[in-house]
Amino acid sequence: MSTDTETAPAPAARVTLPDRLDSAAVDVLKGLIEQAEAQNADLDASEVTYVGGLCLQVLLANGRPLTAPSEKVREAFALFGVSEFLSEPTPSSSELSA
Amino acid sequence: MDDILQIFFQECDEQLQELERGLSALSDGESEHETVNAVFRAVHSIKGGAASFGLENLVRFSHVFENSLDGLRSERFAPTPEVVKTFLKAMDVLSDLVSEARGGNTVDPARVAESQAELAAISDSGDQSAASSALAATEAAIPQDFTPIPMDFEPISADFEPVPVDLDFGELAALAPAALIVTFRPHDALYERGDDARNILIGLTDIATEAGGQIEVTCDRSALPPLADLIPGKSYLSWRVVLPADASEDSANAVFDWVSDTCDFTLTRDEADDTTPADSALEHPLDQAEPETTDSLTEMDLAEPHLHDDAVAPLASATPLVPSIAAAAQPAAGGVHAAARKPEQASIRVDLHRIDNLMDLVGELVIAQAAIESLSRRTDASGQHELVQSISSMQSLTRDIQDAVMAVRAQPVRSVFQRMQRVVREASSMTNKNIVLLLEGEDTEVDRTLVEKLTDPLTHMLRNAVDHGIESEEARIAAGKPAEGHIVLSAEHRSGRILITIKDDGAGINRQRVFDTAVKRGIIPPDASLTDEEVYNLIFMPGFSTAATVSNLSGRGVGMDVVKQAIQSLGGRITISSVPGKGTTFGFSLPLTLAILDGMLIAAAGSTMVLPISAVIETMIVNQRDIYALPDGSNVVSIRGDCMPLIPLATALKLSSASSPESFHNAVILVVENEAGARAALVVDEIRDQTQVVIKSMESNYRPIFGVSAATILGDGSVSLILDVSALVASAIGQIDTKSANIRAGLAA
Repeated sequence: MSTDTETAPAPAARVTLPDRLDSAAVDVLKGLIEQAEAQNADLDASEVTYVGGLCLQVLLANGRPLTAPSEKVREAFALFGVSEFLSEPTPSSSELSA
Repeated sequence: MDDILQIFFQECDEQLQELERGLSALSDGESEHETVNAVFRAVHSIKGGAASFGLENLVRFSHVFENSLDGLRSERFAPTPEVVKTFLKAMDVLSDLVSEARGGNTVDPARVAESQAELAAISDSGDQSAASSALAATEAAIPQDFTPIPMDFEPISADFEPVPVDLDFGELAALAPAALIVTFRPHDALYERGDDARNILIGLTDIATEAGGQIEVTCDRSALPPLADLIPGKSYLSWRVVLPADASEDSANAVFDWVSDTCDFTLTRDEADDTTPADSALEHPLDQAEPETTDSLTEMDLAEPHLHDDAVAPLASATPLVPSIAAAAQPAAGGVHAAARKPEQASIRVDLHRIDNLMDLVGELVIAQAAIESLSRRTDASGQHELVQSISSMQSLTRDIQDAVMAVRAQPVRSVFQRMQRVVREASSMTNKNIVLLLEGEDTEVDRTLVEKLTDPLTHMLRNAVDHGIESEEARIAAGKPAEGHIVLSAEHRSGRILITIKDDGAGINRQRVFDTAVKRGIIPPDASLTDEEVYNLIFMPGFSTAATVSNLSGRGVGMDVVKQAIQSLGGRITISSVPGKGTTFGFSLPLTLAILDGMLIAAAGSTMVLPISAVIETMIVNQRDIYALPDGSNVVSIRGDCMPLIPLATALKLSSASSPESFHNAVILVVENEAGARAALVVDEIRDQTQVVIKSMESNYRPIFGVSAATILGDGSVSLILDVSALVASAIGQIDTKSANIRAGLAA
């Protein structure tokens, strides 16, 4: 594992979002995003299993794209009618297209 | 909204009772105009209320029911037994539809359609009523009378057809022009309550899925500030959702049932609606009946025009939901509904004067408390005397308050009794018997907890009476009885208890068959010598059943045992009397309340115990000459010529060894009586006081003990046992009759 870290290219800073983005997590989420903005870090949504209305607002108000959104995030964004926010190129997809 | 809906359901219960009462009166041949009007009003009120809440199934059915009743009201046809029977059946369906709207079991649409068809047939036959009632009087008329039902059934079922047909076309997925448009904007309070806009969207997705289509969701972010200005708990987003044309407004409304005060929402049909009038009729079969719904929606639109406009203009592009998401949302939706639906709050309606009375008493209590407080500061002798007087008046106040609270909790047994009409009706129909249930003493009041817990035992006993008690029509005619069987269900107050009796005019209990079965099952030895009542009581023994075949209704031999347990758990007793060929009477004797009883404090072997005053007939001191010893070691006492067993309490409870007849000289005795009227004399050391005691269950806190029904805590903090008079008397009678210990234990339990 340590070998992998050494050999892999230096990853961009990432802030991993909590798995449940429900109403109780909204303050934490806002803090994380502000932290990500300060560090110019990516928002890793791969572990998110639930997105509620309040957290959705925070995610939409934030200009930063979500990295590797989980299937649950995609479903939630579709449910809320905001799927287009996920269609913006994530770092991995931009690499692919490039 | 929730509160209003709950009030509506309470009113439905009352209207259904009114309907039951009216139809029962019609069934008894009472066809006064006022009775018919009352029945009509009841259905009309339910329909009106249901329309306000958009309960479509309920509105649709009550509309048909009301139309038929209108025919009766305008005397287009007479309330013949067949007509009343149809109305009674319709009432059962209506009652089930109310339960369904309340969140209960879904009513079988075929049953609703059948009842609707029968009601329509009655309405249609209006002018021919004289002819049809004349025909009904003859056997030949019966098949003809039934003919219209299947004929009318057809078009109704055809009405249900278009729904699957539309599904097959698959047009809904493409969203027809008549789509239902829902816009909503949650308030901050919605999130504060732990709810989420997500739940509303899932609910709407479900409706679309049920209607065979998808939803189109667009999210309005125009009010969303940049992240730096965003307040985390504040709601900024609103949504516009387009549902398929087949999605009903009622279902969409229902999604907002629990958030109506925390969410602005509108429901509109797409204005470019070009559906045919026939389609509209399908969608709104009762448009005329429910203008309120449409009006209220219009009002909402007018009140919130900005929302609608905003929602359409700067919206992000529409995102059709992929089916996989809709499917994934399905299980979640169940959870959403479960979470959103609040548990039904139990409530009772109380006469205002009872509350006022209670309030007055509480006011007096406050004054009495202030008086005691000031008196307690005085140290002189007269102050002490007044203090004692004040405490005594406070005691009587406490008693009055207790009575007032009991009165608030008291409910007439009518609600349970009237439910039994349906039980008997359905049971009679299943057994092909013609049975009438007569109710007496429905206004008898009893504690609410008891009212609720009586339903199951009564249901079982009545089913049993229908199934086993009343004979078949042929057997009744052969026995020279009227073909129609009668069951009388009555309630009355008797010496501080409520007595409920179920009396049928059937064949009576077959004593020999019960005895033989009990022997066969090993419940009693073949040589047991039992009184009639003891034999009858055997039917309450676990596993006992005399039914030759197990029927749908009863006959598994478990029910009667359960009934006995249920009644006993309420502190009640069951008595049975039966006359061969004439019928059987079951009596439930229950306490008026499960919380407090008036007791007599007595002492036996140094222990203070409580005897329920309702069981005590008289108290006296006996002479040696009135006591007679029996060969088995027991004693009887003769009181004014009546002999009854003498029970030395301390010995019966095994607190001391057997006493000699000489020791009873000048003993204090209490003559006690059980529900069956059997008496015994309890010998006690002394009678100490009379008091009210709070009942604490012995069984739930410890375990059942013979001769003890419960326990209580006395004023000095000591625990005292409340005696089970019935068990003590039953035990004494058993001893005198030298019954086997097995039966005694079984019967006394």
